[in-house]
Amino acid sequence: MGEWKRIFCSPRRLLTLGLPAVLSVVFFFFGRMPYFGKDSFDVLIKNERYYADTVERVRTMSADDAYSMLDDERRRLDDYYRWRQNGGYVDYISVPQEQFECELAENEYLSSLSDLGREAAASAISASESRLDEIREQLDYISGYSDYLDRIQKQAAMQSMTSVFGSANTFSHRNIEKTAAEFDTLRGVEVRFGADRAYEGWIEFELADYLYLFVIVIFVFAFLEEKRAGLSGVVRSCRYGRAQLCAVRVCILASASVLGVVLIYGANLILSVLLSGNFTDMGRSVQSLECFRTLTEHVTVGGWIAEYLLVKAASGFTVGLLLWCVLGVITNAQYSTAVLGVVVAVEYALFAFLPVQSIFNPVKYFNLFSYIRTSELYTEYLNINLFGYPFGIRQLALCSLPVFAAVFLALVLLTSWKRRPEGSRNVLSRIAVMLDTAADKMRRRLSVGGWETYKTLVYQRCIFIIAIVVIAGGSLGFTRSVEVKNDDVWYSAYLRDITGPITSKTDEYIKTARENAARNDELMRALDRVETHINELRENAAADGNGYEPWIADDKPLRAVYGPDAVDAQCINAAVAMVFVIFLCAAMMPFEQKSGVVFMLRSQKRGRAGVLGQKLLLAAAMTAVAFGSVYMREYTVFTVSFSGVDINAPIRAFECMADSPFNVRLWQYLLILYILRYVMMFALACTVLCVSSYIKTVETSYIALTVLFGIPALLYSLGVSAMRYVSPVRAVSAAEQMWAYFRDGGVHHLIPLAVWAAAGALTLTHLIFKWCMNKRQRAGV
Amino acid sequence: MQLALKNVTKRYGKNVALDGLTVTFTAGIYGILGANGAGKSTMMNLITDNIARDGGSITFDGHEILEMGSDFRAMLGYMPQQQGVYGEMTVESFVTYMGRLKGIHGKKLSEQVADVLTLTNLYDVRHKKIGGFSGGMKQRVLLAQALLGDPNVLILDEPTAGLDPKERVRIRGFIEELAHDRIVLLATHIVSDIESIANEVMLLKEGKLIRMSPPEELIASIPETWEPVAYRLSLEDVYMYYLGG
Repeated sequence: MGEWKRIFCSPRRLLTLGLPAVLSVVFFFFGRMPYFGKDSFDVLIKNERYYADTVERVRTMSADDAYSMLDDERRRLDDYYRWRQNGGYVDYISVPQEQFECELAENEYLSSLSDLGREAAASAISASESRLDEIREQLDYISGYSDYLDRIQKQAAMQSMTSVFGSANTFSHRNIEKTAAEFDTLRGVEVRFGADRAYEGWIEFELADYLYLFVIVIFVFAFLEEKRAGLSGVVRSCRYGRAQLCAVRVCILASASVLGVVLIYGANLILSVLLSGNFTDMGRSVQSLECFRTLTEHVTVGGWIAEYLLVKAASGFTVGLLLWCVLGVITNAQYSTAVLGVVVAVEYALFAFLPVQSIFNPVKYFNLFSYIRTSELYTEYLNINLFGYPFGIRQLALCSLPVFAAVFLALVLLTSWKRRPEGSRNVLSRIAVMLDTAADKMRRRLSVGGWETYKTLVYQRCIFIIAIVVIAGGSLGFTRSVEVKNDDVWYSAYLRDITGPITSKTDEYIKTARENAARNDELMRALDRVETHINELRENAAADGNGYEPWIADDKPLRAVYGPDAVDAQCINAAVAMVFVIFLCAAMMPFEQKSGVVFMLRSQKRGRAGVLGQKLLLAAAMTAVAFGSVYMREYTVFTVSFSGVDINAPIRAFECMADSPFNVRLWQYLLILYILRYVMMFALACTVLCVSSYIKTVETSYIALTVLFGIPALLYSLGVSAMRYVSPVRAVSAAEQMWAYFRDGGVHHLIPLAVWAAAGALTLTHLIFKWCMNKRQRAGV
Repeated sequence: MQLALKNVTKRYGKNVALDGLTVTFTAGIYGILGANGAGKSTMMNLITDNIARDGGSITFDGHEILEMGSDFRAMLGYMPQQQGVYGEMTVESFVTYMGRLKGIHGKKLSEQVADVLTLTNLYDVRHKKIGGFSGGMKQRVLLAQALLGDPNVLILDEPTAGLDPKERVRIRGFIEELAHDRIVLLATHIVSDIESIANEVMLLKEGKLIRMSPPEELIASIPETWEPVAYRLSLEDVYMYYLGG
C-alpha cells in the first residue's frame, strides 16, 4: 500500500500523468485547427460541424445525388470565398448576384461565417473545401471497395503464373497465396459511408503515442528513484524490499498503462467523435474506414477500438517492463537517462528508416516502436520473410506481445531479486571516464564565458532546446492575405512595373501604357489611379522640402507581413518567440541554486560581476537564437516572397504610410522594428533570469515562467483580449505599435514598449543587486 | 595581515544571529566552536560577503572588505558547509572552473589544479564525475577548490566532516602547514581537530563571543571542581595505531 501511495499520491507524479493527457487534448485540438488567430476555436467548431452535417446529408442520398450535391457545395464555397476576398465585390462570382445572395441567406454555414474576420473566414472556407474532398474520397472508396478486392485476387493469379513468383517453395509464392487467401475472406463484408474523420483523425494523431510513452517512462523512473537517492541498499535490506516490492511495482505499472490509455486515448476519442462524428458509426465494419482497407480482421469499428485500446495498454506495460529491465541493470543512475536515450534512438532509427524491402525488416517490426506506433500494425498490410514463410507483421507483433511481456517480467523480477546495487561490474562507468578524460582536455581551455556557455548547452541540455527552437520556428506563418478591390489587380501590376524612384521614365511608361490600354476601361481606371498617386507623391515631395524623394512602391507586401492585416500572425509569432526565450533562459539561474554552489561562486574573485555578466551575455545570445528563429525567418519570407519590394523606398511612398510624419526609408523602419523587438525580447530574458533566480529547481522554473509569461501571451494571440494587460506580447511583437506610431506619430502608441523596456531594466537592476550585492550593502552599513 | 570584525551585527527578523561581534584575526589557525545556531556560519558568510550585515565593519589590513570587493575575494579561499557541487562535472573540470573564477589562467592554473588534487588525494579520480562521489570525496573536492590561488584568508566550514580518520589527520596536518603565513578560520564540531591544530579557539554562543584563547588556556580555565577529567587514549589513536599505516 505504501508504494501505491508513494507513486500515485505524489503531486509531481500526478502532474506528469495529467500533463500528457492535457497536452494530448490540446495538441489534438490544435492539430485540427485550420487557422490560428482570434477566431480559431470558432473556425474549428464550425468546420467540424460542417463536415458532420454534410456527412449526414450524403448518408441519405444516392451516390450520384451525393456527387452532384458536393459539386454544388464546392461552387458555393468558391463563390463565397471570392466574394469575401474581394471585399463584397460580386463581379467574380459564378452565378447571378440575386442567386448568390439567396444562397448566402439560405446556407446556414455560409451565413455563420459572416461573424468571422476576413482571414478567418478564408481559412474556414479553405478547410471546408478540404472536408468536401475528404467526403468525395470516402464515396469513391466505398463504391470501389469490391473492385479493389477483385483486383487483389486477379493480381495474385497473374503473379502466380509468372516464372519469378511461380515456384511453390519460395517466400514470394507463399506470400501471394497468403495475401489472396486473407483478402478473399473479406468478400461479403459490407462497407458503409459515415463520419470517418472522427476516427481516422484519432488514429493518425501520432503525438498521443509519444505522450503515452512519456507517461510509461515517468513511472519506470519512479521505480528507480531509490537508486538516484542512493537508497537501493536500504530498500533491499528491508523485509519486503525485493521480489514483493517488485511485484507491487509490476501491478502499479499495469495500472499506469491502463490509466494512461484511458486518459490519453480515451479522452481524444470522445473529443474527436463529439467534434466531427457520432457514436452510431461504430457499428460499421472496420473496413468502412479507408485507412483499414488492408485490415483482414472481421470486426466492427467499435470492436476494433476496444481491441486497439487493450493492445495499447498491453504494449505500454511491455514497453515499460523492457525499459525497467534496461535501466534496472545499470548500476549508476546517472547513466540511466543516456542509455534510455540511446536505446530509444536506435530503435526509432530502425523503425523509421529501415526500408520495408530490407532483409533486416524483422528488426523494423520486432521493435519497441511497433508497440508504440501500434496503429500502423492495423493500417499496413505486410508479410515478412521468416525462414521462407510469410508472417503478417500484425499477427507476429500481437502474438509475441504476451511472450515479450512474460520474458521482461521474469527479467525484472530476477533483476530486483538478484541484482545487487553495489559492487556489480560497471562497464558504462569505464566508458564514461574515458570520454570525460578526453573532454577534460578540451574543457581545460574554457574561459569563464566558455564555461557558462558549456554549462548551459550541455549540463542544462539547452542544445536540445535550441534544436527544437530552430525546427519549431520553421513551422510559423508570417503573411496574411490583404484585402484587394477588383481593379487593384491592375493597379498593383502597374505599380510593380514602375517600382522605384519617380523619374521621367515613369512618365514615359504611363504614356505607353495608356496607348496600349486605350480601349479597356478597367485598365484606364487603374492607370488614372496610378497617375493620381504619382502626382500626390510629387506634391508631397515638393511640399516637404526635406529631401523627400518621390517613389513608387506597392504597399501590399508590407501590409501582408507587418501591417494591421497581419496582427494575428504577429501576435502568435511574438508569443512563440516569448516561449522560446523562456525555455532558453529559464534554467540558467535555478541550475546554480539546485547545485547549491551560489555562495561558493559569489566568494570567488570573478564569481559575481564576472559570472553574472557572462550569464547576461549568454541570455543575449539565447535571445538572438529565438529572435533569429522567428524574426530572421520573417524577414527572409518578406524579402523572398515579395521580391519586388525595394527596401530603399521611403516609407511615405507606401500608400498606407503616405501621411507618416517620419522621413525614413523602409530598411530604416524595419531596422528600428527589429531592434525594438530584440530589445523587448532581451527585456523578457532579463525578467526570466530575475524571476528564476528565486526558484530552486529547473523544472519549477520552466513551469512557473511558462504560466507567468508564455500562457498569457498564447491566450492573447488566440483572442483572449484581457491578456493584453497581463502579457508583454504586444511589446515583443512591436509591429502594431510601430505601425501606428509611424502612421500618425502619436507617442502614446509606444507606451506598451516603454513600460516593458522599463520593466526589463528594473528586473535587470534588481538581478545585478541580488547577485553582486556590494552597493546595496555599502548603502546599508 | 589582519582581518578585523568590529561590532558586526546580523539579524534574521527578530533573531539576532551575531550581536556586535568584535574580533581580530592575524596569521594562524582559529578554531570556531559553538552549538548549532551560535552564529559560526553567519560570521563566515559575512566575511565572504554572501549575506548583508546589519551593522559594524569588516576590514582587511584596514580596508573595508566591501570596498575592496573582488580584490578581497582574490585573497579568499572558501569552503562552504553545504556540499554544493555540479554533479555532472568531473573533479578536474570543477576545480579548473573555480580556478578560472579566481582569475588564474594558463599553465599556472593547470599546475595549481594538479597540486591541489594531489594534496587532497583526488588526482587519480580527477576524470570522474562528482555526482557519483561519497560525502567525504565531495568534501575533498570543495577543499581542493578553496586551496586554489594560494589564498591569504582560508575559511573552512566543517572541512573534515565525512572524512575517514586517516584522511582527517592528513588534511588537518596540511591545514596546519598552510597556516604559517595566512589566516585560517576553521568551524567544526569535531573538537579534536581544533584541539590539535588551532592557535586560538573562539567560543560563540547566541551570536556573542564568549571567549577566545589558545586551546590549552581554555582547558586550563575550566575549574577542577566542574568535572573530574582524566586523560585516556581515544579511539582515533587506536585507529591510527592499527590502520593508519
